[in-house]
Amino acid sequence: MTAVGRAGVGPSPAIEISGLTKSYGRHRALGGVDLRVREGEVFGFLGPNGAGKTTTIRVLLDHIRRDAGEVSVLGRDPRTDGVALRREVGYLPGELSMTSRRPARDMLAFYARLRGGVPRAHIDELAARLDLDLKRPVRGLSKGNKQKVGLVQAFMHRPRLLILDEPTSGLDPLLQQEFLAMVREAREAGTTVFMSSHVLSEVHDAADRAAIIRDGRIVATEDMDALRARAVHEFSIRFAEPLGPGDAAEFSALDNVREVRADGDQLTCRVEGSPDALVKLAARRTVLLLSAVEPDLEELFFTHYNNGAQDAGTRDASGGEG
Amino acid sequence: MAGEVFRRFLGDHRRGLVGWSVAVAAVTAMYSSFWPTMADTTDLMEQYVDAMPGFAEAMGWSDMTTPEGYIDGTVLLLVPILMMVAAVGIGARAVAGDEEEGALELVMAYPVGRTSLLLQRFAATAVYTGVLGTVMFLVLLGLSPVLDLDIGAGHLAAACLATALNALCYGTAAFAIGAATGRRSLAIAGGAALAVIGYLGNTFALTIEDLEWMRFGSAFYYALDPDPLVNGVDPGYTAVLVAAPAVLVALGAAVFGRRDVLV
Repeated sequence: MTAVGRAGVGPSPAIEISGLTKSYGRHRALGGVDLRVREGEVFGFLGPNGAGKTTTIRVLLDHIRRDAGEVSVLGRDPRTDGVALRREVGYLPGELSMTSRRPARDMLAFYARLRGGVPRAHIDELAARLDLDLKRPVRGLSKGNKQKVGLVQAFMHRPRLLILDEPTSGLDPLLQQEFLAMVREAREAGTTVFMSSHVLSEVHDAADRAAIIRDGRIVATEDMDALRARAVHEFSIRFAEPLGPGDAAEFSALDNVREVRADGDQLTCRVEGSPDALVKLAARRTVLLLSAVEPDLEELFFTHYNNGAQDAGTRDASGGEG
Repeated sequence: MAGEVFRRFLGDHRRGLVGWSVAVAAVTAMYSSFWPTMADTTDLMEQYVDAMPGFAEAMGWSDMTTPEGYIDGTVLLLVPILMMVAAVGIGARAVAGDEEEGALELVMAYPVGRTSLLLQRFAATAVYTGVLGTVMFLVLLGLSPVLDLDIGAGHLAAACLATALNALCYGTAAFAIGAATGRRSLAIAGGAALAVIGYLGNTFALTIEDLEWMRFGSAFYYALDPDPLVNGVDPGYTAVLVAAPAVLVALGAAVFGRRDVLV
C-alpha cells in the first residue's frame, strides 16, 4: 500500500501523504498535500501561519479526520491504527496548554505512565539539559519553560518519530542551540524528525530536507544543502576609501554577484552561494566593515521557482493570499 | 496505564470537589438543623400550607409535620439543584472544556483511544457526583440522632442516591453535548436547560394539568417522586436514572469517535 516506497531507493518512508484534503465548512484548509518524509531524516515543514502546517500535523495524529487522500505514518493509517501509531511518536503541540497546579515532575510522570512507563533517568537528563526545574507547578511557568516541559515529554520515550510543531518558539537562543543538539542526537539514534516552523532559520541548521506549504499545498520540497548553496545573501561592505567609477563594474563582473550598487565608500550587492570571490576581490582594498543579511524563506524558495516559472501555476491554484 | 486518565482528571479537580462538598454539607446541615424548631411549630406551617395549597404542593411542602416531609421539602429541594449545578459543571469540563482550552491535545497525542478517553472521563464525572451524594448522606446520617430525625440509614441512603443520580443525569447530558460538539458553552447551556425543564416539570407544571406530561422527561421526577425517604429505593425509577446517563454517554461517544477534535 502507501507505506511501500515507490522509488525503491532508501528505507520506506516514515510519513507518506498523498492527495490529502481537508475543509472546515467552506474553508479549504488543505487542498491536496503530497509529502514524503524518509525514515531517519530531519524534515523541515515550513510555511506562513495559517498555511496548513498544524492541520496536516493533526491529521497525522488522528486529531482531525481527512476528507480525502492517503496518509501513512510509520506504515500505519492514523484513522484505523492511531493508538499503535502514537505509541511510537513523540509530539510537541504548537500551542501548549498547561493549567495544572501540580509540579512539572508530576505531569511528566503522568505522561510517562500513559506510555506504560519511561525511565526516570530520561526525564531527569532532558530536564537538566534544558535547565528545567521540575519542582515548580506547570501553570505558573513562563512560555519558554512550558515549552521545555513539552520538549521533555516529546523526547522522553525515545520515539521512532518526533513531530514538533514550532519547537523553538519561546526558547532563548542558547536553548535553541541545545534543542538543535537534541535533534541531531535523535537523528543519529535513527529517529525521524518532522518539525514545522514559519521561519527558515529554525530548521536551517538541523534539517536534511524541507518542504514549504502555502495555502494548503506543498509548493516546494528541497534538499537543504542545495538550498543553502543557492541561498542569496545581501552583502554590505564599507571601505576605507571611496570607490572609483570602475570599481563597481569590477564587482559586477564576478560570476555570482548581482545588483551591485556603489555609493561613496559603501558597496551593496547580492551573492548567490559562496561569497568567496567577493571577499577576495574586496580584500584588495581596506575593508572597514562587512555584513551579510540572511535570506528570508520566501525569497529563498521563490527566487528559484519564479526563475523556473513554476510558481505562477501554484499561485493561481491556491487562490488569494492568506 | 489503565485508568490513568480517570485518576488524573479527578486529581486535577479535587479542589473543586472539596468546594462543592463543603457547599452540599453546609446546605444539608443548615436546613435539616431547623427541624427541631419546625417540629415545635407544625400548626403554623399547616396554616401556611392550607392558605396556599397549590404553591405548597409545587414546592413539595404537602407534609411539613413529619421529619421525612420536612427534609423532603427543604434539603431535597435545594441540594439536588446544587449537586446538579456541580455535575453539569464537571460534565461540561470533562471533554468540551478541556478541548477548548487545548488541554486535550497532548493526551490525545498519546496511545489512548478516543472511547477509552471518553469513558475514563465519564467515570471520573460519575465518581465526582457520587462523592457529593456520599457527603450529603454522611451529614444526614450524622445529624439524624442529634436532630431526632428518626429516619433509617437505608432510606437516607436511598434519598442521597436518588439525588446523586439525578445530578448525574444532567451532568452526563452536559458531558455528552460537550463530547459531541466540543463547545463548553453549549454543554453547559444544554445541561442547564434540560435541568430547568426537568425541575419545572416536577414542580410547577404539576399544578397545570396540561403540563403534567413534562414530568416524564424530568430526572427530578424519577428521583424524588417515589419519596425515597419514606419508601427507600424504587428499583424501576432508579433503573431509569441509571439508563439515561448510559444512553447519553453512548451517544456522546459515537459522535466523539468520528469528529475532528481541537479545531
